[in-house]
Amino acid sequence: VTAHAYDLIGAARDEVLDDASDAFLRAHLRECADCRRYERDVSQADRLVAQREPYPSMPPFEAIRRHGERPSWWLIAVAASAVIVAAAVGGLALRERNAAGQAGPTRVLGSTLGGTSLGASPDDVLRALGVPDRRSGEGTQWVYERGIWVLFSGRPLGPSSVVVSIQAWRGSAAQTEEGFRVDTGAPSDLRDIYATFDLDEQPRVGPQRPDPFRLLVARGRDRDGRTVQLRATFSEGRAESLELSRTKDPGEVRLSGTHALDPFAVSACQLITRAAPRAGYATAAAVVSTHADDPKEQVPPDRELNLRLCAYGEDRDWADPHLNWATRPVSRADAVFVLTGSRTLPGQSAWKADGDGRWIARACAPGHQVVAAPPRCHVALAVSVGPYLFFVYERDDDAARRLADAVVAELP
Amino acid sequence: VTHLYEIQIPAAHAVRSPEYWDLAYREHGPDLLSYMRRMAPSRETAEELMQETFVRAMRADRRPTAPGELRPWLYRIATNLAIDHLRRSRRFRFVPFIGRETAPERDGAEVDLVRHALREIAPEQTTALVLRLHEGFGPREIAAMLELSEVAVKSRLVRGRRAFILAYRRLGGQL
Repeated sequence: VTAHAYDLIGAARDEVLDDASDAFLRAHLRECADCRRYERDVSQADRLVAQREPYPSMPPFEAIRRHGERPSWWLIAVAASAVIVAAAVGGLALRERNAAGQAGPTRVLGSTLGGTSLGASPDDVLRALGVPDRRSGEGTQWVYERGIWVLFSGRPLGPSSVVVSIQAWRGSAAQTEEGFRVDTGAPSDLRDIYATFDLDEQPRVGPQRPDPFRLLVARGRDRDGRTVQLRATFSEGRAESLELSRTKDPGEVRLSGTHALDPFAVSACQLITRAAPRAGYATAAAVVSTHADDPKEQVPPDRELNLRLCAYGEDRDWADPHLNWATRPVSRADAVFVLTGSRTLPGQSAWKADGDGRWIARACAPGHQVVAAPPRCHVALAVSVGPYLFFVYERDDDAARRLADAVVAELP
Repeated sequence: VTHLYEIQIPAAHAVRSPEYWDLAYREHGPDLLSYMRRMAPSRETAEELMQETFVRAMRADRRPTAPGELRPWLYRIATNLAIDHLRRSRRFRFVPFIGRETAPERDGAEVDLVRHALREIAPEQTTALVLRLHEGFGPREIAAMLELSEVAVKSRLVRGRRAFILAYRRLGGQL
């Protein structure tokens, strides 16, 4: 049996063979059982591939039309201006509030971020979010996949760790980002990570989640060959969560944290990350989070909490109690400690403080500035950003105050 | 169904009008979705790819205006997207969320197996096979659509068939 016969058998399915080839094939098939079998297989394979399924129901065209229509340049310009104006107005409002004597470590940032859902360009959004100018050693990488723009950006935290952010845009509707720390364990160059990051998304419909949501996966390797994997889920165009997996050894993947993605959360992350070094922290991983009510996510009592330890990747074993921070919407009604400039004693919290008496809830101004602490945290500073509360944990009260001052100094 | 080329309006205006794309979607969308569904691992992915095809078509700088050119052009966009998708889906393995396992889509063991086998072979061969056998395009039409030589298309078909048979059997299918 020759390969030529196989080729001819295949070719005969698509075209009329010339007389010589046709004669050759017929003669060959008479003699060769393998090729006769192959011819039957090809015929069967063609039938299988050609089988038509019922037409699936068509999604409405409206959503496609919205994505497909190219925005006018003047619209983009207007949107970008709106973002910048929103940021400026927000900054002015905060300065006025400062001038009115509303002292305290927290501020409302929502107004500065009001424009992020507009159809501005990613750069406009970055500027509105106050992302600092790129410094030496920082890097970015754009990836475009299936209608989603994703920007990986990062900056070095120290000799062996980097903070990476993911921002994703789908059309003009969704922008998300998150800052998280990647400990590489060895001197790293961001380019080492970016160079191998790739991206995919996969629609998923989970049994407990009837609504379809999207999953973005980025995977890369650090210099030591460990895998870094980022997974972001999206629901109805909004980012829902980000999960970072990092191998401690090549080939091993473990989850080490969950964060909701939200422009507000991002802003708070950036804020604290910028502020922390000014408050004397050598490493400044963003530790901005609300704490989930899930008892499994409570901080273990023997865990010393401070900015350095609250970074990602500290858990030694996924099965053990770990630092698993999750942001979630929190309304004022949820925060029982809306107090004015006072410390709060344990036992008064909806978070069921365990009564060890070492945690403090602090509020700085009624209405907008809310500070509260989940149980077992010694000191918490919270920043109210839009509809969210973000907590920063610090066991030392003076350090918390320094950090609070630094945060305030970073506000627009 | 009103065929697109029966719309008697200036082409430059036609390709920008919402009505044009609405008609194009109704006319070609089901076929493109069916085409994608033959290769995509799920209905959602097929829908996504089909929608992306139209999004790219609507945003394209140069769009065909002559009668009959739209359909192969859309298939060309769709094929490029499908090839990209097939390539990418090979590079990643997804670890399911704990408690959020996606129920595998089972709309027929044989259909699933064919789809799976098509995704196992080279993406260029997959798309050529599906265009030829499922969508009914001839080698010459496929060649024109993908800007390939006819010889190249035939080669993809011949190799694709052989690869498909092997993959189908490897996955447990019986011919």
